[in-house]
Amino acid sequence: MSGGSLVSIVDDDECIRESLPDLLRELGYSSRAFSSAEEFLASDTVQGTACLILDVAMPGMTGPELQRELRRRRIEVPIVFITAHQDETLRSRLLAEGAAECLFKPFSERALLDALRSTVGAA
Amino acid sequence: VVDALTRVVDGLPGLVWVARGDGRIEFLNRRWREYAGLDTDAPSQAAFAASIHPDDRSRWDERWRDATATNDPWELEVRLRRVDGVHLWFLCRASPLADADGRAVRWCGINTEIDDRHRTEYQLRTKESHFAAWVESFPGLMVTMDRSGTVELFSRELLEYFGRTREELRNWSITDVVHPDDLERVVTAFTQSVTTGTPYSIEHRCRRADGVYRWFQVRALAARGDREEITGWYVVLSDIDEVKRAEDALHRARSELAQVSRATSLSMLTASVAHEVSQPLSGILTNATTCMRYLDAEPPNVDAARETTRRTIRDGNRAAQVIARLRAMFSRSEFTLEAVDLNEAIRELVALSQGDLQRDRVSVRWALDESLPPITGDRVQLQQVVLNLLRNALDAMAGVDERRRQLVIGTARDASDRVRVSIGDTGVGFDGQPPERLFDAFYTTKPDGMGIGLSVSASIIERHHGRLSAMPNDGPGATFSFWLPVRPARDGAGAAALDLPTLAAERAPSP
Repeated sequence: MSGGSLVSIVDDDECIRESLPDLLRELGYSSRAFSSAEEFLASDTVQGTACLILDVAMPGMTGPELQRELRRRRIEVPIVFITAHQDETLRSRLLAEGAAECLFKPFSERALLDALRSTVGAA
Repeated sequence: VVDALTRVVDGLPGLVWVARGDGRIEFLNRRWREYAGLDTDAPSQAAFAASIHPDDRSRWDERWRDATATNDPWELEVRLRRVDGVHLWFLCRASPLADADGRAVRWCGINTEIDDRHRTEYQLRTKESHFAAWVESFPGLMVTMDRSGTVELFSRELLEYFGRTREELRNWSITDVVHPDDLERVVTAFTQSVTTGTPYSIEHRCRRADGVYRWFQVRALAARGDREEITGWYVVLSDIDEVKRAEDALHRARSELAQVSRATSLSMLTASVAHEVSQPLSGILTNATTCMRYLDAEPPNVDAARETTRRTIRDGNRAAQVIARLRAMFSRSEFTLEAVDLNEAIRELVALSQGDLQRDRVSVRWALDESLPPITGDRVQLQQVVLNLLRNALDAMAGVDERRRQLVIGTARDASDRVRVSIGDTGVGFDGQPPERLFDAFYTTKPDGMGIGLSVSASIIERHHGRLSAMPNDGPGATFSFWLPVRPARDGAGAAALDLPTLAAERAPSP
C-alpha cells in the first residue's frame, strides 16, 4: 500500500471493489473498499478518507443517503459518485447537492484521475 | 201431406226456393221469407232482386243466363240482404227439374249461409297481403322462400341492395351473391338446414349491386305447418360489415398494443441491461488499465498483470452472459410454445431487473415452489407479463417510505392441474379503484402511464388459457397473480433450445 491520500470506495459490486483499489494504488493513492455504506460508517476509515468514491444505488443505505449521513455527522469529505444508470438528471442533482463529481460506469482512467485531482489533488 | 212437406221445407237449414225454367221465383220457404223480410212466398221479381247485393246482381243474372242455356246444376256465392239491411254471404246451389227433352222446367235451390267462412277467408287474404306489405317494407334485407328455397316475398331494401328486378329475384338463389371464398361454407350450412330444418345462421360476404362485398349475418328460420312439416323459410340478412371491420380493427389494435408493450418493455429492459453490462464493463476497463500499468512498470509486475487479466476475462464472460440472455429473450417475436420452467424464467427476469430493485431499494422475498412442473407456453411473452407485474409493483411502492418496500414473488402448484405465479408488493394498493378496471386498456392510475400493460398482460395470459387477477393484500399493497394450465410438455427439446445461449455462455472455457 502506497502512502498517498486515502481514497475509500463504497460499492456493492464486487468487480469495482476488486479492480478499482489496484488501479488507485497504481495511480499513487492508498485505497480501501467497502461493500456497503453501513460497513464504511462502522469502519475506522471515515475520518482518514480524503475522497470517497461512492456507488449511488445499493441495497440498504444508498449513496446519497450516506452523503447526507456524513453531512449530519459533520464529516466533510469530497464525494465522487459512480453509477451504472446513465441518467443526466440524476447526475445534475447529485452535483447540485454537493458531489465533487459523478461518473457513469464504465469510466476511463482519465475521467477518474481528473475527478480525483480536482478533489484531493495529485497523489 | 202438403203440410208435412211444407214443414220439412221450412225446417231445412237453408233458404229454399223454387224458380221457373226462366228463373222467375215461384216459391220461397219460410226461412227465406223471414230472412229477407218478405211477406209472400212468391214475391215479385223486383222484390226478390232487391234482396241480392247490388254488386252481386250482375253475376246472379249472368249465372241464370248460363243455367237456362245449359240446364246444368250451378252454384254461386252472393250476398243476400237480411231484413235489418245487413248483407250476409250465401252459397246458392240449384238443380234443374227437367222435362222429357232435358230442358229445365223448374229450378230447386237452397242457399247456405257462409258468411263466417267468407269473413275468415277475407281476413286471411288481408293478413297475407299485410304480411306481404310488411315484408316489402321491412327495414332490412328480408326474403321468404317456399319449402324448396324458391323466393316468394322480399323486402324493397333487398331488391335495392342486390340491384335486381322483381322478376330476377323470383328465380334467385342467394348463392350467386356470396363471396366465392365463403361459398362452400354457405352451401354446406344451407344444405344442412334444408335437410334437417335446423335454424340457419352464418356470416359471409354478399356482393352489393355496385360489386362491393360486405359482411352479413344471414339467419333463417323454418316456417312450419300443422304437422310440423317445413312450409317455407324466413330469411333475414343483417349487414354486420361495420362490426366486422371494428372487430378487425380491434384485433389489429390489440396486436399493435402488444407491440407497443413489447417496445416499452424493451426500453425498460434496455436500461436494466445497460446497468447489468456496465458493471462488468467497469471491471474490464479498470482491470485492463491497471494491467497496462503493471506491464509498463520497470520491471513489469507480471504476476499482478496476470491477476488483473484473469479478472478482465471473467468480467468479459459476465457481460457476454447478460447479452446471451438478452438475445435469448428477444430473438423470437412470434408466439412459440415450449416447455417453460417458470421459476427459472422468473429468476432470469429478476436478475435483469436487479438494478431497478436496488435503485428503488426493494427487497425480494422468494416463495418459489421448486417442484413446479414445466408448463407449455411462450416463454418470452410470459416473461413480459412478469416484467410488467414487476414494474407495476415497483411503481406502486415508489412513494412508500414509511414501511419496507418488499416484493413477494411466488410460484405454486394450484389445486388441479394449474400453476400459479404471484407477485405481491407493499405499495399503495388499488387506492379505492375497482380491481376489474385495472385490466382495461388505457386505464391507468399512473400519471405517466399508458395503461396498456395490464390489458396486454391479461390477453397474453388468456392466450395461454390462464387467468390474470388482482387482489388487495391483507396488509398494505396488492398481489397480482395468474394461473396457467399445466399441459404435457412435449419432449423438452424446445426448452433445451431456449437455454442454449445461456448455457453456451456459462460453459465457455474458464480462463
